Amino acid sequence: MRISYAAIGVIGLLSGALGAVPALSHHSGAMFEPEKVITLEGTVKQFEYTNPHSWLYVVVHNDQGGETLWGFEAEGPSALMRAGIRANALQPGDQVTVRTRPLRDGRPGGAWVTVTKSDGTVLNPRPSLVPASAPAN
Amino acid sequence: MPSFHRGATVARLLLGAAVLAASSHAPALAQQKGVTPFGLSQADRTKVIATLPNWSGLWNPVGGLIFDPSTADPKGNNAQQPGDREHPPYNAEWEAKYKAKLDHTLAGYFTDPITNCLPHGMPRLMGGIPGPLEFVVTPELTFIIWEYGPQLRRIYTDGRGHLPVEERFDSWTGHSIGHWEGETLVIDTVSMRDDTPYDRTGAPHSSKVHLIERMRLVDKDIFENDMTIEDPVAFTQPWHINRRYRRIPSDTFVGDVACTETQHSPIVNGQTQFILPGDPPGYLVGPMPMPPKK
Repeated sequence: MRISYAAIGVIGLLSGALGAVPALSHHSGAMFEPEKVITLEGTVKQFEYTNPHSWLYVVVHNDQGGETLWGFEAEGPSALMRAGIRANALQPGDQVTVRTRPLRDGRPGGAWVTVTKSDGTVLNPRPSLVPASAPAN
Repeated sequence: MPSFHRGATVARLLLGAAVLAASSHAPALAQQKGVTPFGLSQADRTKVIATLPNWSGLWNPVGGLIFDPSTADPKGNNAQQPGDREHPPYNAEWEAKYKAKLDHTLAGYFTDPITNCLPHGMPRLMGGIPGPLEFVVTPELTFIIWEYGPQLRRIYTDGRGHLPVEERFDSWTGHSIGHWEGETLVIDTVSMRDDTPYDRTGAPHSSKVHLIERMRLVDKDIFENDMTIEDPVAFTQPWHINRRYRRIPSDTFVGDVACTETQHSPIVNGQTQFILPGDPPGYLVGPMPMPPKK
């Protein structure tokens, strides 16, 4: 697994400088599982590079042979740019492995933790996230 | 403010501003050094600019999104999890109001007003919003610009006062007047709406809240805002908060964070929604109490 060159650049530049960045600053993240992260594989239907949140829609095949459309939420374009995830990072048809904190009410949606493309590129919206308990200065 | 004659010296104009300001309603600014009226010649204005600090660049708040990191409970919280709180010096009535809000969140309702795309408002902008933020320092006023919104504060350093008490009305950012003490900007802010909590924990303030800030560079990469908040309705004593902001690389991408562009999470029926394309017709998220901690 490799991290994209762009992401390395941003991490190198900003780690330690950004401080505690909220996961999803526009709304509470308490609708998602606080700690449980699940992994899903599927095919990208659409990547919306939008405010206040970006959305990745992925068709996931289930055990019964059917398919479910999942929606994964990440930060908006500015934060994704700073995280090295560009507007053209994901195209319809891309095969992806998504790690998500799923919704607690059971619907097929969640917070985007990481997305790994078939070439191994890892797309992490929050590469500079440090624990809020990190020293303030 | 009356108009000023072109060609007068800076010193004379500053004196004029001091005389005028002394008769206006600026009780917190007893002395009016460090202000510059509008209308100077650009040559005289340039002399004032040379005395002002360089706050250019991009800044991110240090200490997370809780307004007062020093009283965060649990320690180090980022105001994101139900139960996260801080300890303003509330009187019993306002502590009870805050407790009721915290209990409502623990019961599974997530109702931060900014989720409905309302402005963060003041004082929250100085501690309960992610960066980056930028300062535009001019002789007559200083702007603070946040990427998120975008949102903007205007801090007048032209010698004006606040509106007379009987004419004041509340707004999102309130009314800010300031003056320079050396390279420290001292700001007095009133008339802030009482429906803007300090941060996502929901800590409330009254419409009588009065904020004094002292902003300065600690060094070239650390900016400090030393705040004293008086709230005669809600507090038993002034609340002192020291917030810092750290410089990030100036070529960091900055763009729009326009909340209403695609709103998947409006607050409906007192709850933050999360709209998915496959939702059943009329589906609304109900209360989602947090599972007990293991």
